[in-house]
Parts: sequence; structure tokens; C-alpha cells
Amino acid sequence: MNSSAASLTHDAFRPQRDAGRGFRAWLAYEFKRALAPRRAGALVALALLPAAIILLLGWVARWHGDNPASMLSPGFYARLFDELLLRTVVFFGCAWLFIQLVRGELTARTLHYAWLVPVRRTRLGGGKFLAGMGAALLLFGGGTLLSRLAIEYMRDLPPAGAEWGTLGGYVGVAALACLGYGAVFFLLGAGVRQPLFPALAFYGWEQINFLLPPWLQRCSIIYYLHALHPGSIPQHEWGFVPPPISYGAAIAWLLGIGALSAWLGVRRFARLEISYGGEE
Amino acid sequence: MSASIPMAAGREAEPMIRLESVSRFYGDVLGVNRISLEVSGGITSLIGPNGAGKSTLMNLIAGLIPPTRGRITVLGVTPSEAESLFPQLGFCTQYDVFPAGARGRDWVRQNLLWHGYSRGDAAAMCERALARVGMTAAAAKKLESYSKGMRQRIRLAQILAFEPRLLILDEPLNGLDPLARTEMAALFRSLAAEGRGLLISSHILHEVEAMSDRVILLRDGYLAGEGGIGSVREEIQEHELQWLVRCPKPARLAALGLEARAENGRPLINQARVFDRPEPALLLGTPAPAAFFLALNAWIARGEIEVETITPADDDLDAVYRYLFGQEGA
Repeated sequence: MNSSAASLTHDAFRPQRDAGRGFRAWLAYEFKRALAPRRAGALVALALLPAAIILLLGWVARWHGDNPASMLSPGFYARLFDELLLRTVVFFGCAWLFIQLVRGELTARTLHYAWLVPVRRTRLGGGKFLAGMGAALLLFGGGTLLSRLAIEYMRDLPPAGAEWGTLGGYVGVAALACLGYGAVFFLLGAGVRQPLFPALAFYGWEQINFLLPPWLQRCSIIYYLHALHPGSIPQHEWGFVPPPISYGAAIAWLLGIGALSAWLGVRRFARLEISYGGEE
Repeated sequence: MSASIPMAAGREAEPMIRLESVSRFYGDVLGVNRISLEVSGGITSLIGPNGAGKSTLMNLIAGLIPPTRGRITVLGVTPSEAESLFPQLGFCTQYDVFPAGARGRDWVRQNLLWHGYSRGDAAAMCERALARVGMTAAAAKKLESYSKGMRQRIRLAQILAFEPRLLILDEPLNGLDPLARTEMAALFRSLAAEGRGLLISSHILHEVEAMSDRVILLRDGYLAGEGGIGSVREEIQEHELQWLVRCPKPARLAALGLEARAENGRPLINQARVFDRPEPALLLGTPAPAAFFLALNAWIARGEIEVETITPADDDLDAVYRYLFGQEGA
């Protein structure tokens, strides 16, 4: 240890701070952290699952001498997108990703490092959410794109014309799902000490959405995602018919729910105390 | 955009830290209660037994937790004003953890990037800080592989790197070997000589008395006393404390200590108990800790003994408080 070294305050070396640069560094760090191999490995596998299933089914069909196109129809993809991509991959992927953004740091006892940097806590929280959104869009938007390309590949129908619009529609709905679910789980991660049970209750609520009266169906994310679904998904034989809603209104509601949840999550995050438990 | 330091010229004479009747409760549990004090430059030690409220007080000062009641001002601003406060305040917390997979140099540099320095400046500042704490050679290793002492040093480098005016260090000597303690104390003194303020916590009065300008004594969440170190030093030297020294040859260390004499002719060790299990160690009592550690360093330097760790065995400061204040507490 060099205790006799020159003073740290050196006239010839006085670097300048830039608050904006500090925030961008925080954003980049959080984005990398969200996609760190030890954390994102399972998320990448989850995001690639739909594409992998499609490729597997296609190859099995070919192996049996069948035409994969007959199995991998647009209707098949519409159901796969709803039941596997939206309700499972995006839902659970966002649950893991966004809850970990805050709760993971509390569990690892590292949040205090963030609290000691010269960036406002609301900006730190906003940065965390934006970084999580970036990672979710990359993973699950990318996963949706790959699954759609996989089905076109198996059907030997390269996307053209309207197909590109449909593909964009699926990716867009997946992105809105990331925003809606991500914001809700960010709020849960920042506001609830044990977010697992609320997350499971939320999952159940989304699953039984079709059983709820129309006015309650509006109190969900999946209702608006279904309204924007680019394909046609079969109605359940029992339950309530979902009330009609325009594309614009559905997008506005999803953006509103996402923004409100994210704002509440950031506020809650900014008020967190560093009390990991057991240290006093 | 260049961040400015919001210290008006007239504020230099103001205390660096001002607490006005600050209380903090964890539900029904008392953290600290009605603490009012002012801390200026130099080295101030915050002393108290485990659970006295030292970490709570430090966390309050740095804004990691808000007070239940009272008002805190640090370097002229409140702890919630992160953009104004944290370019000037460095805090080594009690939490001895790092993000998984991080390496020493990267972690120090990352903190500078969050502070808004350019990559080039951050790299240069990082190297200066690493050199100052003697961690340049080990900085490329993963933090998980560091010893306790190395972790203490890298955390110190992390806050030294951005040159704060005020450093708050929670038990910075904990887990260090005697040589490292001496080096760290010298570093603290040099930082204070540069005009920085240091608030250092310890549950062992003897540990910091040699380097402190002022002590603040906490007990059970209350301010038990405060004042210049000179007023209590002589009395402290009369109070015997016990230390546990882990070393391969505890009997040899006991023999050296029992033979050696302080300047006043008193033995450096007047109690010694050797343990073979679970690992070789010596439990010793010394009435002259400063002289004992000086001699210990000399024995280590001459290769007469090796020491792995040295930790205070007498965590109970109540005796010291009774000794100093003639009562059970505040």
C-alpha cells in the first residue's frame, strides 16, 4: 500500500464528470447484466423454444413423408403464438427477467452500490426498467421473429408481401406483451418481498381471462394482446365473449398499463431501503 | 455537461456531517435514538460494541436508509441529493459482497463510469487508486478469489478512485493482518492530511485510537460520548483487551510476548492461552496494545513468526464504557 503517494487531488489531472454519461454507463451495465450468461442462459433457451418446436415438428413430419405445411398452418402458428409464446415464454421470461432486476440485487446484497452513485434513484430505476425492456425485446421479440421464420422455412414459403406485415404484427404484439408483463413484474420485484405468489396469481388471472365477465376481462394484459393478435385464435366453447375493442384503443391501453406500472415500480424502487436483513 | 460540486466557499468551515436529533427505528426495534452531533475534517472514529448502532448511523449518513425522525446534512446537502452528494462522499459499507463474476479492476472502473467519467479518465483514475491501496497486481483477478483483506482494499480503491472529500468506512480494519492494519492506518492518516474527512467505525477502541483525532462512542443506539482522542487515550491504555491470533506457532508467539517489555517495563502480554484446534491460535491479553502490535510487526518482519489473522476477542466494550464514563451507559 502506497500511503506516501502523491495526493489524489492532482492539479494536472482533474477529469470532468458528465451526469448523462454516468446514466448511459448505468444503462449499459444493467443491459449487460440482464443478459449475462449465468442469468440469461435459461431465458435464451425459453425464447428459442417456439422456433425449436416448430423445426422439430417440421422435421418429424418430413421424416414421416408428410408435408410440414399441412401441420404448420397459419392457424397452428396463431395458437402457438398465443398459448406458448405469449402466455408462457413472454410471461415467464418477463417474470424472471424483471423481478430479478431489483429483487436479484437485494438477494445478492449489491443494491447499495447503486445507491452510492451520483445518479438520482428514479433515474437508476428508470434505467433498470429500460435495460430490462431492451433485453426482453431482444430475447422475446427475437424469439418471435425466429419462430415465424422457422415456420415459413418449414412450409417452404419465404415471406413476401402481406406475410411481412403479419410477421411484423406478431413481433409487435410480442413487444407490447414484453412492455405490459415486464412493467407489472418490475413493479412486483420492487414492491413485494416475495413476488412469486403474486406472480402465480397474476398468471392464473391471465389464464382464466375468458371465464371472466367482459368488464373484468379488461382488467388484464392478455385481453388487449388478443385484440391485437394478427392471426385468428379459436374462441372457447364456454366463457364470455370478449368485448370488442379497436386496435388503437388496445395499443393505448397496453402502453398506459405499461407506463403506469413502470412508473409505480420506479417510485417504489427509489424508496427502497438498504436493509438486506441479518446484518445488524 | 460537467457536474459541479455544490460546495459554496463559505461552507468550508461548516461541519462535514451534521445530525440533528436523528432517530431510526426498525419497527419496534431501536437502531439509533436522538443522535445529535457534528463531524468535521480529520479522522473521527465511531466506536461501539456490536449492535450499538454504528452501521445504522453510517447508513443514515449516506442515505442508504432514511431517518425515522431528525435531520441529516452531509457536505451541505441532504443524503437524498445523490447527484450533489455522491461525487464527494465515498462509503465503504459493512456489506462485503460484490456482483458475481466481477474482477477487481473492472469493478473499480465501473463505479467511475457510473460517476460520469470518460473511459480514458476512468482507466487512469482506477490505476491510481489501485496503486494507492497496493492492489495493482491483483486487480485482474475475480473478486470471489480475494481474501478478506484484499476485498477491503478493493472497496477502498473503489471510493478513493473518485477522490471524495469525505470517506465513511464501516469496520475497514476488520479481517486484516497486523501489517495490513498498519498500512491501512497510514493510508487513512495520509488521506486526512490531504484535507479529507474520514469517519471510521470499529467495535474496538484500541484499534483506531492511534490514528483518530476524535471519537464518537455509541451504545445501544444512543450517543454515549464524544471528544478528542487525547482525553481518553491514557485511560484506554490502562485497559486490557484480549486478542485471538491465528498463527502456525502460537506457543512461539506467546513466548516472545511474555518475554518482551513495553517502554514502561510492563510485559507486552500478561495472559496467554495456546490452542491447537480447530486451528493453531493464541488467545492473549495485552495491557499495552500499541506496543504489542509494534513488536508483533517487528517479529513478522524478521521472520520470527507468521500470523494469519488477528481478531479482537474482547467484543464487550461495556467494560471500557464503565471505565471511561464510570456508568453503565448513557
